[in-house]
Amino acid sequence: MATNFQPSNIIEVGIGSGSKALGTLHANSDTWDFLQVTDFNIEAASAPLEIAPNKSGLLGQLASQGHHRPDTQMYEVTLTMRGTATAVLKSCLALFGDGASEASLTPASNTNDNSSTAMKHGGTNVNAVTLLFENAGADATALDVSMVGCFATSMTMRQDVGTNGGEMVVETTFVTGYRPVQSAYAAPNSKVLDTGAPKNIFGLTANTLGGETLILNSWEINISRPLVRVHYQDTTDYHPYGYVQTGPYEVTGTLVAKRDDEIHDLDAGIAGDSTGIILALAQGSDFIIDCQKVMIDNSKPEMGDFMLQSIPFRAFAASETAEIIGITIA
Amino acid sequence: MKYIAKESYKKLSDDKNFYAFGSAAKHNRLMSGLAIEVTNVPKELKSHLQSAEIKKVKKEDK
Repeated sequence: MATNFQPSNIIEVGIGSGSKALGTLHANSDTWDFLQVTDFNIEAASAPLEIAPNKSGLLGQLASQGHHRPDTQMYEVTLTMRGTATAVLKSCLALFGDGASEASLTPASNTNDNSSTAMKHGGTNVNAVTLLFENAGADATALDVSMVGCFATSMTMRQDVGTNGGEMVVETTFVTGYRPVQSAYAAPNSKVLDTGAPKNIFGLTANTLGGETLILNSWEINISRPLVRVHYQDTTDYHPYGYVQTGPYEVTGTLVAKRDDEIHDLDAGIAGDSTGIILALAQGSDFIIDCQKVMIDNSKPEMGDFMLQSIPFRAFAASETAEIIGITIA
Repeated sequence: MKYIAKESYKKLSDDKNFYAFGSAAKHNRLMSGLAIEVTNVPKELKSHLQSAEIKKVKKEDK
């Protein structure tokens, strides 16, 4: 009888990054950032079960009807992190290939292999990351869980005066078509502990939409994209041939602001004039979110002790090379 | 600040260009002749980039 058990609060989450053949584990000599993760889920090698049709006349299912489908599996992990510069930039790296401030998303952004037009198994790729969950292995000696070839499919940044002391929260979803591995991973040579201070809504100094200054109660911005695996190479590991992005990046969000004269001045955009306006949120020069072409999507007043205006929006690019969203963070 | 690539940037290997600094996107834009906005330029790349900021022209007195 096994006597080991797994306290969940001793698990540390690291992100390994740097140019690597897609599908390869980042080595312990690579860059390993240990972020301020507050919540996460974890994956293990698994497979969905498909059931073939039942023969007429039988009222039970036969074992021969059961087929595991590891070839279709995409493993998905969502990390909730305190909103530091590293949390934001590592997410941007794996989501749209820009891990250096100003992280800039344009219609030309991608996470393809270096100087390539595809995300192909074995291709040199600087955007894919390895997720390492130290102390998450179920085995008494295979202590860690690692997930290689991870890309992000979604990233949400949010701040709210009513939660987390106003701190920014970053929630990023990573996916991989490679099976998670349990092993005793040799500890990274140097763990880069993320000791940065999270950005805070109370630190925002200038928030404007269409040139109107907003007093924000909360805001959130989501950047997402669809990503699928390409088939499987063999029936030993079921490695994918790579990944394909099947749709565009979408940037959406919601501002919740005090309903006042400035909101009234946004009437044209709220009523709907199909015209992009500028959204700018700034904490001095340390944190700037810049969307040059935002359209408001069905904004409504909200009742409360005092009235608020909920302003859902979508960000666009002005041209094929222009920026959809720029995130300056230090 | 905004920067564009000098010719010398385009000759850098992947372990020395923006790939090495975690930004394939910036590398791709520079190689396409487009400008990038950079908060802190890595010191190894400073000599390979040039400012793309619009210079203010001083009005000359007549």
